[in-house]
Amino acid sequence: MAITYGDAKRWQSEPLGTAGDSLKKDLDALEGARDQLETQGVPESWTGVAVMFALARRTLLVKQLDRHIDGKRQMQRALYDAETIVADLERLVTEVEGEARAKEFSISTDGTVSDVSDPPTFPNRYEADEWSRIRQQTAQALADDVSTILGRAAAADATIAGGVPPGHVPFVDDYGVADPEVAEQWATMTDDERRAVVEEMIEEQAAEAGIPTPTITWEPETWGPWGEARGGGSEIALNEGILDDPFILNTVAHEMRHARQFEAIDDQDAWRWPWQDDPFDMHEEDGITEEQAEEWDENFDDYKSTSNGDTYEEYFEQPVEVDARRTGKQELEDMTEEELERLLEEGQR
Amino acid sequence: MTPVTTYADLVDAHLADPSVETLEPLRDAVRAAPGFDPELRVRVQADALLREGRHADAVAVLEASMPGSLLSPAVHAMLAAALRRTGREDAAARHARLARAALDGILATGDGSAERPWSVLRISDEYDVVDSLGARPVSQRLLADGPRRVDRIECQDGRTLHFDVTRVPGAAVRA
Amino acid sequence: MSQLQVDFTALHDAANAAQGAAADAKGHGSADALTWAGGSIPGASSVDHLRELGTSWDDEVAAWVTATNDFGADLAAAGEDYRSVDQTTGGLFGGLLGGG
Repeated sequence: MAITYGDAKRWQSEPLGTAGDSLKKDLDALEGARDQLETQGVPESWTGVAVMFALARRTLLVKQLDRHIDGKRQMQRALYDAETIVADLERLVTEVEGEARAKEFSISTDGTVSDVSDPPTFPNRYEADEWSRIRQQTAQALADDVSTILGRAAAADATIAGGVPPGHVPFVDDYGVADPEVAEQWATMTDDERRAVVEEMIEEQAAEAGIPTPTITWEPETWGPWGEARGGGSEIALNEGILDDPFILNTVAHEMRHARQFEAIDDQDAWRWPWQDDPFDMHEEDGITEEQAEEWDENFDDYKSTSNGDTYEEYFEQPVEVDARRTGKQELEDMTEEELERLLEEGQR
Repeated sequence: MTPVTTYADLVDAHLADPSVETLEPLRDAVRAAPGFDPELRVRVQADALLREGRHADAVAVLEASMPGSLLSPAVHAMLAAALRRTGREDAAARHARLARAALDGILATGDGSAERPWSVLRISDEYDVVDSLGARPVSQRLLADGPRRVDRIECQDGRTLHFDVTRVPGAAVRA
Repeated sequence: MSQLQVDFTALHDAANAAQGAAADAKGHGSADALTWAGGSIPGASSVDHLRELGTSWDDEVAAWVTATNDFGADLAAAGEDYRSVDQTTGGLFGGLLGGG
């Protein structure tokens, strides 16, 4: 799912700049059209009821074009920003490839560094070991450079995705986009580090929801969904295939929100001594109303799923999924580099 | 003065003046009520209905168990919760007061020691007292103390609480 | 020049401006540019986003061009009506341009 080294090696910055320039030309033309319509579109000397309709229509057309222009400017900026990052990436690729060649290493499309030198013969064991040690150090340095390159690629990708204005690309509208810094950091983390972050997130969100920490099940890449909340939230399943994508932060928050939904329903139904705190209070404090919990309760009693023969739209638009998706998107978009570092630190404790 | 005759009258009198004087006539009336179930089976039934979110059904089942289940703290608390969820706020508030009054009534009869055990209408009431004190029971033993029958409940936190079950039907046969 | 003649000229100019605006905007959805950009970053998730955005933008501009042309045509028609009327009637024009 993540960008491979083989892909990143082929990236070029110039077309991004060219595209940005082309967008500028389009913007100039569209702004000219907008100005023309706005200043001359309805004659000042005109009076009467009809002119009101005409003005309204003209205003709407101008507004629509303005919205398009704003969105285009946003993407133009993103393309130029991405161009800078990819130019840096190109330089790093040239350097690492040159270094690898010079030092007799090769870097495969998946980023693996291999020693392709003919090892000399050594008079003694000590020198042979020393040679190995130096070779390994060099290989590690090259691997680190590859990691940096993949980080830059992720940052450029996220920069462009972040330039997509709302209302055009459903995936971006529904699921959100990670900050370029977050994407870059995630790309350079090891799988163990990523798992540590995920586990810490789940632990913290479970505490917020007032539930015991769910167990985590890692499903193989061939498993269909991104994630699933099982056993009323006592188990969270995650697809291993998205571990290398910061999108998993969305999925974790999404599934944990389902666990929260289950808990809110339970707490709403539970009876208590009337003088004790209402167990539902903590959910209300976090912005969950009783009406919402009831709506979720009814939804779970009649949960729509494509594996049950319901349509994808029915699954997608049901209240618990709309709510969980909103939470997941917010979590992904709100994530910062600092917060990610904190989660990693706490997760590794 | 009109003599008190209905359960509601006795309940109102006790709520207005929560004392041993108003509690005993009410307890006697409850023990003698048709449908008085010392095992309080309705409690398990209603609990399950509440967990399923079937609040109206829970209300129906609990109200049908009255007046036999009067003064059960759990029944009044469950009714308060279920009535609130079905929009009957006034009735819910009344049962919330009754839940507290039922517990206070029990607590006023002693101090939980072997010498001065709390007196209860039902075994279920013992567990309500234990729960409301924030304790978890780990074991229960029925003891004979002269003519008295006393349930001794040991709790997870080390407390030992005693309940006078002499007048609880069927208590004598529980080992 | 009578008031009616002024109005005809003004509406005619406005109609030209609208149709001119439509002509200026035509074809500036930027889909080609975005596809070009996507081609330079193989493997990125943005490649799909750029393609979708480009299509959406092209459609949006095309729809805007049509709507603006229609607006211009309606203005021109209103101008023609002014020209064909010997006296001011007022209510005639409300129907033509209302609720376009």
